[in-house]
Amino acid sequence: MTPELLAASRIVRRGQVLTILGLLAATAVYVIALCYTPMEMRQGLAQKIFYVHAPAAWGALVAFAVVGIVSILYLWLHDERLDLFAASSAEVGIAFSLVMLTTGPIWGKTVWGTWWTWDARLTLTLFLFFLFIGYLALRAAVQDRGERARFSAVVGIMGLVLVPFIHLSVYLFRTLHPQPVLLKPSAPSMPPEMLRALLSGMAAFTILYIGFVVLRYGLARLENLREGAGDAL
Amino acid sequence: MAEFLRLAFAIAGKDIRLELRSRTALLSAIVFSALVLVVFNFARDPTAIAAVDLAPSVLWVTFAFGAVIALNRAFYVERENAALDGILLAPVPRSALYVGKLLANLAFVGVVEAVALPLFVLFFNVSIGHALPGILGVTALATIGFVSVGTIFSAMVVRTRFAELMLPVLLLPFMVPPLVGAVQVTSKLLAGRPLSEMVGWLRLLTLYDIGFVTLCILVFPAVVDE
Amino acid sequence: MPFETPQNGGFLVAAYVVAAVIYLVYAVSLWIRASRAMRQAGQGGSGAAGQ
Repeated sequence: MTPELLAASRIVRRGQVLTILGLLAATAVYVIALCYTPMEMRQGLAQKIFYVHAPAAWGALVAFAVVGIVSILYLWLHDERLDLFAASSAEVGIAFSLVMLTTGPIWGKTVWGTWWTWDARLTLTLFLFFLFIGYLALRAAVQDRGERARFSAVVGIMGLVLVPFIHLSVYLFRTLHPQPVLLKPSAPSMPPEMLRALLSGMAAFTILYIGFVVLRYGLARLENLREGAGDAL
Repeated sequence: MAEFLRLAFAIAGKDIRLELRSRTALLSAIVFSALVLVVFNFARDPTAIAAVDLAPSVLWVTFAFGAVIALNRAFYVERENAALDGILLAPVPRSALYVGKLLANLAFVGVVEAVALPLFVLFFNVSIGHALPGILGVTALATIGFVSVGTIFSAMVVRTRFAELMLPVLLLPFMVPPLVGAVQVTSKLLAGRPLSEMVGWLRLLTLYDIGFVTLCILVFPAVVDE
Repeated sequence: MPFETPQNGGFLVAAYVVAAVIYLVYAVSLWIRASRAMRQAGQGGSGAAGQ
């Protein structure tokens, strides 16, 4: 077994353990949210979607930030492992974005009466989703490994810079086009059980994110090995 | 600085001359824009919606798609003649190369817009005379935004598979802030609103241009160098 | 009109199920891909090229 193969396998193993931990933690959050949180009188049971929706949005944002920052590091240090890590975060980001973009409208239908609204967080996550897709599509379209890494890094960095502008655009848009009043349970005066459930959710899904990324990264290292062997033939 | 500009203009001039010789990109972008305008006309119910309400959106969707078409072709000429490799071998600073390409692309897209705007006025019967200087100004601002990012991406995708699909997929999210700003400002200009209502958007557009042109200059070497 | 708490438990279930499905499907897909890659790597990397 080559040292690289050994290293990659070890990463995969760690990723598997972390993913299982994350899934268990997520299950615990489900139980807490369903059984140990009070029901919000104005919104009904559906308000509890928040405990899954908010961590998913957070996860997508973290995944995106990681792609951007690691991309900068790659262009600076030229270590291909950084590229593989960024790509892994992008794929995991798609999973979290999908959860946010599906739970969001389901919740929105109960709160706002409409499946979609161009509110700041949904809109931003939609953009992150498209940027992740574009990033991965570009990777699939480029054959040369060096080129693929460089191009991905450029897209990652540009995406990172785009985010504040999306934010600003949505903010300006909304101050001119007032949206219906939103019922947001994220006010500082949240009852302690709700806060506890939210924080547990954030922690659990962060562990899940880390598990997914490490596992995906290990897989990327293995695939990279295989691709490298292919180049040598 | 003078040397930098001289190089940038030289590169831009070469690209423009190349395109003028074959003209295919320019013509397809212009025809495309005209067709988009025609489709929009038939897609609208004239009794229900006043042309002037829809006008900013129609104009800017046309400009945006026309820009993507024009950008798509911008690098093909280069690749087909393997000319890019030659330029890269010369000790040209990458930033000058980028600015040169940016200027050439701005010229291409500018021509498309210059043709699409009068067609738009003609087809939609919208009077823009009173707002013309403002519209030209906001068009310049937003176009710089689109094209700065588009130049980088078209340099990347020209060497990939499905290049014509990759460019819009990558570029469209980046076109949204300039697009939103442009539509808002155009709409207010046409309605004769005071400048104070547009300041926020104009700031957005300007910041976007400065930010992304700078960023693109910084990352362009990563796109063209090994 | 007295305020009534809306009966939207169905939405809650739907959202929780959708989220769980997405996470689980992704986890399983990662697991399978990783296991396959480990197996193939174990059999001698260069033989598995050309995938």
